[in-house]
Amino acid sequence: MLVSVLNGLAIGSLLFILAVGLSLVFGMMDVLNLAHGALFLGGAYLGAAFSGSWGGFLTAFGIAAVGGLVAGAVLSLMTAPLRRRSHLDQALLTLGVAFVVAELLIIAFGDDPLSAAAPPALDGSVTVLGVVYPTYRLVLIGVGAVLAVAVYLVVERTRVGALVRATVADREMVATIGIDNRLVTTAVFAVGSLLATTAGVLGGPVYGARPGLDATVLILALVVVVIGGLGSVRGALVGALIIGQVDTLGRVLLPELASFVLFAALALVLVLRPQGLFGGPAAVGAR
Amino acid sequence: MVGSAQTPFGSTTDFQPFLTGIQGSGARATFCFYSGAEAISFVQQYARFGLAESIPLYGSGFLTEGNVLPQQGDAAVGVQNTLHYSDQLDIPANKAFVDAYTTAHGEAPSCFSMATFDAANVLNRALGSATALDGDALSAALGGIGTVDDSPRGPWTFENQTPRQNVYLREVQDIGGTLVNAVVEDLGPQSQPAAV
Repeated sequence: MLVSVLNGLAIGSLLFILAVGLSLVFGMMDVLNLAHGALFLGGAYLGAAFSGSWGGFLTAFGIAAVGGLVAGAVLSLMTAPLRRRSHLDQALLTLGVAFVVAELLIIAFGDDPLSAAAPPALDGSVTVLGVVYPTYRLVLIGVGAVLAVAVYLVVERTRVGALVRATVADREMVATIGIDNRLVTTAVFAVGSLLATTAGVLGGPVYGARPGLDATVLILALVVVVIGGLGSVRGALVGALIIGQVDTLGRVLLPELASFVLFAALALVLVLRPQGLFGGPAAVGAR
Repeated sequence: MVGSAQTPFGSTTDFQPFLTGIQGSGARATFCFYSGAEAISFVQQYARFGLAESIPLYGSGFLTEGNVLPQQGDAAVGVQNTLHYSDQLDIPANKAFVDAYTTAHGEAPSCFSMATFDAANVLNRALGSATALDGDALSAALGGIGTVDDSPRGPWTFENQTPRQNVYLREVQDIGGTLVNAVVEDLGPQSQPAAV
C-alpha cells in the first residue's frame, strides 16, 4: 500500500510538470492548447532518441527546452488573431496543430513504440520501505517538488509573476498602465510549452514514446487542470497529486473499476465544485 | 491460480498497481498477454519493480516478438513465452527464410513477416489447383493443399480452416549483445481451440 502512495507521488509529480503549463496558458491567454500533448510527445521522442547516457539526456533536455520555447511562441502568434473568437475556434486550431505535429513525429521517428532508458545510475532500482522501487521515479518526485516551489515563487513572489497574475485578472488594465501584454502572453505561452516538452523528456523513462501517447497525456493533463482549477499553479499541483493517488491507489483498491476511477474523480469534482478546487470565479466567468 | 486482472486496454502506462497486486498475491509465476507499447512498459516495469527476480514471467509470444524486444532491453532476458514461430528455429526452411529476409530488409523477420510469407505461400499453392478464380473455388482449393512442408514455422496443415501447427516454448536470451527468442522446447503440433 505504501509503495502505491509513493508511486502516486511520482506520477503526480510528472503530471504536475505536464499540467502546470497547460493551466498557465489557459489562465493567461484564455486559449485551451490542445497541442500540449503533442509537445509532450515531441519531448518524449527526443528523450528516446538520445537515451542511454547523461550527455544524451541533457542534450534531449536542451533541445526540448529550446524547441518548446519556439513552439510556444509560434502557437501564441497563431492563436493571437483568434483571440476575439470562441474557445471552439482556438481549440480547433490547436487540435489541428496537434495532428500535424503527431504526424511529423511519426515521419521522423517511425510508428513503432520506443522506450527511453533513464540516465545511468538512475536506471536501476532501490529498496524503499522494504519493496523494490525504480530509482528514476524517486528522482521524479524530487524534480516535481523543486519545480513546484520554483514556479510558485516566480508567480507569487516576483515582479514578473505579479505581471502574469495581473494579466490573468484584467488584461486591459495591464495594457493601460503601459505594458505590452502581447509580450507577456507570448512569454507565458513559450514557457508553458517549454514545460510540456521538458515534461516529455522527463516522462520518457516512465511512459516511453509512441503514437497515441499525446492524446493519453493530454487527457490526463486536462483532468488535472479541470480538477485543480484553470490558471492556478496551486490547483495544478494539488490536482496532479490527487490524480496521481487516485490513479494508483484507485487501481489497487478497485482493480475491476480501474478504467473508471479517474473519470469518477473528475465527475465528482465537477458536480461538487465546477470551477475546480482552486479556480476562482474569474476562471469560469464570461470572459 | 491466485488471481487475475485486466489492465485498461491501450491506456495503461503505469503498471505499478497491478505489479504490487501480483507481489502481494503470493503467486509463484505470472502469465500475461501484451503486445506493442504495453508489452514494452509491462516487461520493463516488471523488472524495475523487482518482480523478475522472484516471480518468473510467462506470456504469449507476442510479448517479446519483433520490434518490441530491442526496446525492452535487458529487462526482457529470461522471459518465457510460447509462439508458433521464432526466427531462431533451427530448420532448413526457416534458415533460408531468415537469410533472404535479413538480406532484403536489414533486420530479422518476426512472426508477422513469417505469417505474411506463409499466406502468399498457401495462396500460391491453392491457385495451382483451383478450378476457377472465384472465392468459393479458391476456398475449396485451400482446403485441399495438405501439409505445407516448406514453411519457416515448420510443417503445418489446415484443420477446419485454422492452422494445426507446432508451438514452441521460447526464452529471451542475450546472444552476443542481441536479444533473441531462443527455442527451449518444441511443444509439438497443436490444434486451435476453435477447430476441435
